[in-house]
Amino acid sequence: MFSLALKNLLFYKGRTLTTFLLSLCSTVLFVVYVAFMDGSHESMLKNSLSIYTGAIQVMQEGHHENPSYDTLLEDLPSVMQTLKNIEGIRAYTPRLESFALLSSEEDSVGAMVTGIVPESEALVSRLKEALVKGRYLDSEDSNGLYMGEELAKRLGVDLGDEIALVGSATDYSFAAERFQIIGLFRTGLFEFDASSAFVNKAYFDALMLSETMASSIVVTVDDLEKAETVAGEIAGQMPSRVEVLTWKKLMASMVQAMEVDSLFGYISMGLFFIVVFFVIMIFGFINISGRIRELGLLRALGVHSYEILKLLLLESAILAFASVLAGTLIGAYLAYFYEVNPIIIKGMAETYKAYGIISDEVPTRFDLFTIAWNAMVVLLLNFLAILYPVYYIRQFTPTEAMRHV
Amino acid sequence: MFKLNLKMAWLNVWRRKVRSLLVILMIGVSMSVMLAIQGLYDGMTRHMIESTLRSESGEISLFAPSYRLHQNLTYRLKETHRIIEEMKNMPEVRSVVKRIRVTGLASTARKSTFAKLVGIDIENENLFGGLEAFVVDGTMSFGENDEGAVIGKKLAEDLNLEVGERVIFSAQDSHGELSAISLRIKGLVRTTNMAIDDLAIFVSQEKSRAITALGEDESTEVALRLKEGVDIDLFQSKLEKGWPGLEIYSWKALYPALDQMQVMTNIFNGITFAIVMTMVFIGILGVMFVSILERIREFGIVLAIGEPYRFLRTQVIYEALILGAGGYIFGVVAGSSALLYLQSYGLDLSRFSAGLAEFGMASILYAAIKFHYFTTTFAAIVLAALLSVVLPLRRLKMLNPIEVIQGD
Repeated sequence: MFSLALKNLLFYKGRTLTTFLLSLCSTVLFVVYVAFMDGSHESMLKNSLSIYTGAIQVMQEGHHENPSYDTLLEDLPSVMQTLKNIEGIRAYTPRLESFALLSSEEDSVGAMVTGIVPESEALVSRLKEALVKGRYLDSEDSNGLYMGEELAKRLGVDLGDEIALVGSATDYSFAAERFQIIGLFRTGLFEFDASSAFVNKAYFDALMLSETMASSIVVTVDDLEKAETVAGEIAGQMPSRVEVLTWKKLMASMVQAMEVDSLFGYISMGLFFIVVFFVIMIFGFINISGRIRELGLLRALGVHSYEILKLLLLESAILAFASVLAGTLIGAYLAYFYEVNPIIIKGMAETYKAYGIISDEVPTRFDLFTIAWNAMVVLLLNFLAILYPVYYIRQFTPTEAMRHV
Repeated sequence: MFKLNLKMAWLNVWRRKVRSLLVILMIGVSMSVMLAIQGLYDGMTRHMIESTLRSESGEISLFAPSYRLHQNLTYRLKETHRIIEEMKNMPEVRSVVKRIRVTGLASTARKSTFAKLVGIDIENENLFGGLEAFVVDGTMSFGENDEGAVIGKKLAEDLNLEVGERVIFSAQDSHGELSAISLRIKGLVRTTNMAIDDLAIFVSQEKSRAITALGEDESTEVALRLKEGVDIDLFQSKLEKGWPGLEIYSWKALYPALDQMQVMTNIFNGITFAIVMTMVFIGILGVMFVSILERIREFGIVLAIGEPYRFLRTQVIYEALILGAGGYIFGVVAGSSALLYLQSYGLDLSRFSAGLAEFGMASILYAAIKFHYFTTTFAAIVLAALLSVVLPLRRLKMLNPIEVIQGD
């Protein structure tokens, strides 16, 4: 049966080759397209998480929806102590975030001023690595300010210049202080660089009356895939009004933006599949309807209709498996190659900086499970496309088929 | 002869009904889905650009030199009245507005955040871009004493503010002094322009002058809406020659990402179009090839009785065109129905509203309908149909009638 199916395929070379190429190209296109889509999403997400957000944040209930001084973590030392004993945590650090007006001689800008613990902050975010001028904060710093490069441009200030901060302390009393710029950073996240400044938390606590308080504790984990498990464990050991959020909730809008982007991608691929489905079906139909007499003769010679069905499906299966396998290998190779050597589109980060793009690189994501389901979709498409032609041929009796013109 | 050819082609197409219907179905379904996707993507991009133009930049914006770089009141426009009067008299200009914009801190009793105060004239803004239509809560007014403000919806959410509540805005004035004003929220706007929704506090021009200490004839920007059909680049060059002391930007320079998005959408639609039409070509080619091969003896007989080759050629071309036209008509009916539905009711993606807001998009996407969708598709289908018969016709031309008739 197998050799007969193979002979049939080779006999109708043109149709076989066209269907093979169509199916192969569809597989390559689908695998590579999804790899690029997933790769760019993963890269955006990882950049955002590693720059500032972290994999998990521990905060007072309601702070994420409504960040204010009313929802600060108040018993910071005991919460920090609890985190020490949990497995899977790589590092953690507390932050106290406050919006304040920063004024230079030239201008005033509203900005997020955050008190950080310099040493532990360096373990959870890329703030220290983002230094472009001056130096990073240390635990001995008092009124030193580590500021985003774009924010410094907005204020018209540079290293060593003084800045006045006007805001409110955690008890809502008036808080004002003069700071000196000790370092400038550039993470690439434009809005972040244009609206953020950092201070040594020990000093900031005295100004903001927040010694044992924090807006959140940022946690990084050994394995991002296990963030939910680690978060569950942390939550189990925290007081009742403390909540533990993973990046999926913290970056909900970004995650959703990626889902939307994927949705558009799949809609576009859907159109492509509709066309390919029809073309494969038309070629399958042409192939089978051109062999009605031949199949009728086989029936008349005593071949059971079930075996003819098996023959036709086998022909289709050989073609589908061969083309999808070849397409998957090519697609997987391309996905792997561009994961290691990402495509670089010069100027992309600058153009799309408002949308959180910080790199000119467009990597793919080589993931065997994704590649496997992509291949299965095209395989399924091939089988669906052959159903109608097979159904069509089964309508003929052997006599009708042999007389068919 | 034309009638006979057409009749024969028509009869031949329907000799194999299922096969012909499959091709027509393929062209029709893929064309209608393609049109719906193109319309949706074009509509989405157009909506993003249009709301930015209406709520902020217009087609052209004018600034004092260095303002865009420093965004500081030091670099403000002077003689604004003269600029506006001269712009209004230009035949290309439909509407002009001036604004005073200053960055600072918006605070409530419990929260503070970065914000931009924008001094506007409501009547002019409504003529300019229909700002009032973006109001989602409250009204587009500043109250009797100009104490009110209309703020971006997202900013209101960030500050936990509702209509009727107060917000304090602090900023540095043009003399370097810190000043603050208290404003009562009169309305909330949602434009899908992130610069407005996330940051803007609209106040009256008088109020903005009070906090910035700018003079009656000063502002930070003048924006222009141009009449339909005006070439933006040409008009920009004309302004640059006439006003060498100003920095003049088109919306494409102010929002390169939006411009890029439009370019990317066009490229994407172009690629989709090319792929679909290639498939249509392959589909028709396959059917026409088989159709000719199975009638090869019939064609041999026709040639043997003295009919010229061109008779067969015309008939085959008509057959391909009938298949293409059938698919096209089906595609036009289904595609325009889909487009009209998407234009009227849109595609509701409210489930992803936060994600769409990240891109500055509305949660219901409405399709655009452009006449060229139908003309270019028609031209491409005709081309695909004509190209698909080239190979089969070559086979037909090489035919030896005697051999074919004698062959089995």
